[in-house]
Amino acid sequence: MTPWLFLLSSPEQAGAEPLPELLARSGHPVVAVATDDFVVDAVHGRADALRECGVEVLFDDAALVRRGLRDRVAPAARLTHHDIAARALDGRTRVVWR
Amino acid sequence: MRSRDILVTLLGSPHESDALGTALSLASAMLDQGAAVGVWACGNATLISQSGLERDKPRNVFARDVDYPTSALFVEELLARHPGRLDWAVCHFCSHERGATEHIDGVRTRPAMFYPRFVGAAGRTITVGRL
Repeated sequence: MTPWLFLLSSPEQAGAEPLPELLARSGHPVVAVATDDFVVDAVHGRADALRECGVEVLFDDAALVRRGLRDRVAPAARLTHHDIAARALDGRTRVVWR
Repeated sequence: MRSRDILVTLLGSPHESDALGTALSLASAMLDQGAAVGVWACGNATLISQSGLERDKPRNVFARDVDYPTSALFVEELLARHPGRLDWAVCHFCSHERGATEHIDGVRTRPAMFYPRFVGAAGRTITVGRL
């Protein structure tokens, strides 16, 4: 199964199609990194909905800091941009920005 | 066309959200990790590399000692820090339609029909924003 990395930025775009959920339910390993405005939706329930479908949800630490939401997310789930870049450059992973 | 590990396609308006800034920061982080990165700017994203933007934004009256670099300076410094590993291209049609005809050194203006070549030469492509 192909690993997928979703960089979820826009609540509108990310909510328009449940691609991460569908891929995860199909058995693909799916990681979603919430960034930009999507972190607000994510900490207020969207992350739980994704996790229920089998998606691993992580957060862009810088986006959390800018929105005062850093204390809402466990340290292990917060990624720097260098962490995200390393995941995006993994040779096997397909990367999608929404 | 040189092969690139990743192509970052920038669409839409640079200031409508944080997306473009985040994408540039991620591109910078990928370059720091040794990746070869291509950037293709379309639509209003062609505006960020204009030479007319100069180097610093107007002084903040509440923080006079702080420099706020323009997007053009950010791009210029990325190109300077990673020679040979960052290709930055702007769509000719989008650029000229907006009067953004002068770009900083190192940024190349390319016809829209070159875009498939950029995609084909990249290991993967992410598309940021909407036109």
